[in-house]
Amino acid sequence: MKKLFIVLIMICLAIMPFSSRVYALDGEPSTGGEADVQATEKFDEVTAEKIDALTKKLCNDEEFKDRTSFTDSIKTAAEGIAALFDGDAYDVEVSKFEHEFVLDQNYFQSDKRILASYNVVAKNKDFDKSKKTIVISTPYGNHYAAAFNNNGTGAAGAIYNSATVALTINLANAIASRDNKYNFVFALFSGTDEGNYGSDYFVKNFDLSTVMLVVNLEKLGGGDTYFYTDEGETEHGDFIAGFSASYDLKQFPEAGRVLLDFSTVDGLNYSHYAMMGDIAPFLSVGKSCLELIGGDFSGINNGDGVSGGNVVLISNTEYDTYDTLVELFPNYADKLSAIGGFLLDLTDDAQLASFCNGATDSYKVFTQSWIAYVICLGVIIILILVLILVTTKLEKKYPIPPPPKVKVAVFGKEYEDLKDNDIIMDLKFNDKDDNGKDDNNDNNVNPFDV
Amino acid sequence: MGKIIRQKKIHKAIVYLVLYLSLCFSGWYAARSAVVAVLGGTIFANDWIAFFVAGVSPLIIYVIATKLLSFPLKNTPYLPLDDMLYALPFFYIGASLVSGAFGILYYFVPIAYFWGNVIVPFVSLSAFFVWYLAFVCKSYVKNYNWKAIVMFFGRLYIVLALFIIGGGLLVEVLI
Repeated sequence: MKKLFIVLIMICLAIMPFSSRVYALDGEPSTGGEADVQATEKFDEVTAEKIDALTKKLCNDEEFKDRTSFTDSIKTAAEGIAALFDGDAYDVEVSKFEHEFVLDQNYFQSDKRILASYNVVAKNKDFDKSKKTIVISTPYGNHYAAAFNNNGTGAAGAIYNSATVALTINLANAIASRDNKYNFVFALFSGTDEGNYGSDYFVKNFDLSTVMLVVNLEKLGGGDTYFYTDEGETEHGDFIAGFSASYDLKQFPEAGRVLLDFSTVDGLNYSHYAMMGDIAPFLSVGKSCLELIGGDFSGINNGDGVSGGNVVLISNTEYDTYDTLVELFPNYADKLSAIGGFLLDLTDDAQLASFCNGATDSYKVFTQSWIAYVICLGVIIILILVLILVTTKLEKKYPIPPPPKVKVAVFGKEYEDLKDNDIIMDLKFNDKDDNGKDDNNDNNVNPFDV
Repeated sequence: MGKIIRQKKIHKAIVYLVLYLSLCFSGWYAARSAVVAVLGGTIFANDWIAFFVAGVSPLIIYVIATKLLSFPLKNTPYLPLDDMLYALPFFYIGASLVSGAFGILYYFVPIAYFWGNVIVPFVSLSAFFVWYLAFVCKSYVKNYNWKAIVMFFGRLYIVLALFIIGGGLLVEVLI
């Protein structure tokens, strides 16, 4: 038992390096220290007031509140969002993409339709191809109206994802006002919940050659803010962990993470909440990624955060409105402002580029179950060999004893030798049945007639 | 333990209850994602639901499989079928507990799940089945029949394992 325990610990230690790095960022910056003072100054550039005002606008204005992907209304919303970027600093493009959906399928027919949706992509005007690029992305679509045989929620999606869109736009405009070491591209994707179609289109059609880091923001403002880089250990993950120490980062509870039984990242046969959004297409092509995702992921939970002592989940529901957001998470804008400060600091760091060396894939072999099945087939072959060896040995060691010989005694038991096991039987011809009458049954053969 | 099994001191119902709980323990980790997919992720009791749901289908499969496999052997001479059927759950419980212990490992190191979930149950089940055959032979069967018993049930186990592991491999490769 002790040996088994030691073996288990050894296995745990051996697998540890392949475990992921995810950390949580508190809404409030830590107190004291030079880094905190800097951070606080930068929070002013992405203020809570600005974020709150824009979140309210995105949730309540007719122009913005229906952002249902692959519907006509999202184009209007996309154009409106594009206008919110600083036009002097960014070239903003509303890019159309299409996908063929099977809307209604049965045995006899299927209703296939090509539907269009839109991304909003803002690229800094002084884009320099000799510089590295940071992409900051976020999904902006919601489930306001009915689509794909699903009923609409009738809610603009405050926590998922108006508040984060508000942060992203404010962050873009704050970054535009400073001298930058890197190029910046802000990408707002639609079609995320339908299958990351917007981000997938972006990955396939945008020149990613200069991109060193992709930061994807999702569902921020409610609970804790977690950051995630990849399933394996990454240099930029370690760097960000150290860099963010002054922001009172907490490690995301990796233990108890729910692995969902579908694939979003190429080469991985499972997903979890931190990797299944718009970060997935970027991880699939090997880019260094940073996912900032808000909520409560303690244990098996997939909540938006804790409010009044309870884990709540309002995203993608009718309750995902601005009023509910403010009621459940009154300090959401402060949290987003803190995250904005963190991102301003991170993206201004000259060292960051040297740590962004792409996604890792060394762990992927351990996620391929078919290899385990092949190992089991090997074990079966060993079992077959063992079975042959064991049965051969058993046959030799414990041979089946010869059956006792039956001797027919003609003259009775006086010939029986008590020293051996041979049995002497007296066979007598009986032509009477059980009642003592003559038995005419032909089967009753006199052995002495043979 | 061998004495308890041989003398059948524990009521069958209790044995099956413990077997169900051990199967829950064994399949709990794998059931979490299914429960989350069905119920969503914000119910506090999700892990408990996953635990108690995990044992249901393996128990049903066990009962049906043992009935089906034992039926043709019912009248086999010199085969202590009743004793063997009574003893089998004890060893299955052992194998399930070992698999369940690894579930705790997966909880803390999720990436270990993908190989572990295939290899550990099979290896532990194989080991406990070998132990079970040895126990049955020593307890109920005359030594010159050991070869026949080991050969018959060993082959049966290997055929079933080939079917299940080969099927799993096919599914993994094709899907």
